Amino acid sequence: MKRRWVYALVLIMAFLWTGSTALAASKGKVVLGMAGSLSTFDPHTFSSLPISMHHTNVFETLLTRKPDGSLTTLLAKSYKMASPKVWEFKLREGLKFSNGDPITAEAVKFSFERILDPKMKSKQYRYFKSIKSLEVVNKYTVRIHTKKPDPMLPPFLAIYGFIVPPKYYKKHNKKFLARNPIGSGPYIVKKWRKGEELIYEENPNASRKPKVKTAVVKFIPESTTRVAALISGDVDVIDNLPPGLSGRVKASKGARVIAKQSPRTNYILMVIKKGAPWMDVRVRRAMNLAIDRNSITKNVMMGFAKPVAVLDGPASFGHNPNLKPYPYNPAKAKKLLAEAGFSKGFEFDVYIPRGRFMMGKEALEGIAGQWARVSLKANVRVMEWGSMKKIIFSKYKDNVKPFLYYLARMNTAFSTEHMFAGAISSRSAYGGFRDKGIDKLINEARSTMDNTARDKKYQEIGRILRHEKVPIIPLYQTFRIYGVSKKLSWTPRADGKLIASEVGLAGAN
Amino acid sequence: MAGYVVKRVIQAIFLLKLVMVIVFLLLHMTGDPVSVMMDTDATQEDIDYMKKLMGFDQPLWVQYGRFFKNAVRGDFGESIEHGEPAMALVLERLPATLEMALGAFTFAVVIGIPFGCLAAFKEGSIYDKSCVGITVLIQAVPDFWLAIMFIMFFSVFLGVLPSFGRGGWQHFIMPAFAASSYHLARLARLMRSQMLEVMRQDYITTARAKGLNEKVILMVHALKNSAIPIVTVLGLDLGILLGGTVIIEVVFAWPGVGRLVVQAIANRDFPIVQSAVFLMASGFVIINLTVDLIYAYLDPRISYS
Repeated sequence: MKRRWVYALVLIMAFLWTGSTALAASKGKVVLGMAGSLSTFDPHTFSSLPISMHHTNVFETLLTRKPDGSLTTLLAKSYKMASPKVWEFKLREGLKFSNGDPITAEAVKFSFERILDPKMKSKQYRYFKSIKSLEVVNKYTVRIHTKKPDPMLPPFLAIYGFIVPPKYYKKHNKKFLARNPIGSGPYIVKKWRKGEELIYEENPNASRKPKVKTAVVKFIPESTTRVAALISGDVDVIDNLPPGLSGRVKASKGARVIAKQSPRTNYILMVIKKGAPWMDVRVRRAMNLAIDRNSITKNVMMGFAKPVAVLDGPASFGHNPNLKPYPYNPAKAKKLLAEAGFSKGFEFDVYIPRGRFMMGKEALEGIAGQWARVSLKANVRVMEWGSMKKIIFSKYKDNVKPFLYYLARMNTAFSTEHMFAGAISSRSAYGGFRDKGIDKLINEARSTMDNTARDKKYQEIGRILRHEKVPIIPLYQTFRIYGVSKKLSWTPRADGKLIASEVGLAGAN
Repeated sequence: MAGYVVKRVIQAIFLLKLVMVIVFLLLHMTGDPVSVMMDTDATQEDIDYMKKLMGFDQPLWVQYGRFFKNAVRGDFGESIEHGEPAMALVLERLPATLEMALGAFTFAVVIGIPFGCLAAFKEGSIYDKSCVGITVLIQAVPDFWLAIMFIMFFSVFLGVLPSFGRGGWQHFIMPAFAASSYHLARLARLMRSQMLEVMRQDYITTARAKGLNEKVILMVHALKNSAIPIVTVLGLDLGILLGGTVIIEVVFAWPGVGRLVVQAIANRDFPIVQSAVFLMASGFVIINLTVDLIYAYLDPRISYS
């Protein structure tokens, strides 16, 4: 009787085992386990990191970023500023979309007009809102006319502004196009089940070949499961590996940890208005000096973060390499607080969204502990993101007590200007600092067309912010951490994107 | 009977409407989709422009009026994030949710009820004691932890089951069992206590005195009479499983409605949330009605005419 049970069990186990090996067979393809889900394959409606990562496989932009982060051409052969308000692009000739349609200046014009069309309600509009019109000069030359001089256009042309075949995109409705993309990227979408899996197949008409013929993306939101899937061999590479789980990947036989500093800067913003102790710049400086950034990056982030001086890292245009992160100096912080009349400290709220930024809550709790040593009592308030935004947008209302808030921003445009506009300028919806002088400097820099001169201006703004105005509490840039099977060959990108067509098999090339 | 059903259906329609209004107001009070979807580098100007384009600058009652007008015609609007009809997106995910919910429900019934019965039948035995102990343990263990332990053991250590996703029956076992664990244990315990109570009733003693076969007593007299609370709990369980296996869906990357809705709530993607709430509330209403009708069958003293 007992023995029969054992036989049955062995049989069941054998059956289960054969079932799962059939699944694991993966020759000539790679399987990616990715955290973020993809909502649409219409390249002109939404914007998010998962969208730009996936759309890059299927569509192409005029410009692009090399893995090292430098700006280069893609569909464009060359580009130049024809006059301050005109950018001119010469396209590579003879290229085709995956359906065989030719890639022409007309397609470029159509694609941008589709983004700018108010009926599309495109979230990408704001990246291209400076565009006034597009002009087809000849089959392979297109000009972008801007409302005012816009040197910031090229970095955005390397992220969004995917070029599509006009005929196909005019013929079909929005609903159909959300699932059935046609582009010129290395892959075409063979099958896509939302929230489940996405299968890429080599695009026969592409000018750039993918590293592997077939790439399968599995959408796995839970990090523990992604790690289990990697270790058990169900997937070959995973993204968004939490620092706490990196040890488990390192200890596994088949996989390793690859990490690279990304342009994702974490910082704490302050609502600088009447009634806030930090209206006084000495207090802001003291709050910065009281934080031991090295300890946080080492102990909380487990080394997967690097302190920054202002808002950007070394890969950004306009980064000032002479600026150092604020040193840890609690004695000086105490002295500054006393000078400002806060020798007994003060109490305040600091908000952070739940589960949005890597180890954000843990880091902020560490920082609150360091602040407590200089008598600053920070109440860490963990919020749902939508509700927290509502609080941020009410910051200047009279009945709202001044507060602090922790944010992080992925700067895939590698532009200091972009960070200033989003956190320092008084036009920013998220910033808490208003200074006419700084606004003027930012505007001046943005309309400076000469790259060297503009770079200098941003560096100077960085210096003023770091040493004189101290409008924010810069923290660090986090790394993007991946678990990668040893059978893969892949170089992590400076912009933090995991692009399926760039993932190759070791020894294949 | 027919009159009762009609009355219940009319009640249900009002209930659904109320639920929709509450969800609409709650979501709008805690943030609007434009603010949520605009990245942290947006200017106020950008946000205002998008709000105007999408109609979120209008007063709340105008927005609700527009939503309601379309909803009664079965049009729940277009998802903000996906750019596709919201109801279709929810319906697309429904099979996966149904598969897991019904699977978990079946596990709970097929395992929970016999175990409970047997424990009651052999009251005081080692079997009974271990059954009680195990079910308490299972009930106390959070399902996501159990799910992760399953993955660690069966996928990583033994390598016999796929670690995530939907597909063949191998994909289905772990998530369905993890989702059912709590319900299974509760059902077994409830079944046991109900059976014990019924077994002490006079009519069971009478049946025994009449010399009826013990099996007949157990299956016919005891089981049916202890079924009413069980049916109530089953109805609740099924409702919960249909609407709330979010954590299990996330852990196993199971492409169900729960994940879609949680994402939609985070993004304030109202059309998706409304569609899903409508479906789930309808499901609950139908299950409740069915449960009430089963009562009448189980206990002839209950009548709805």
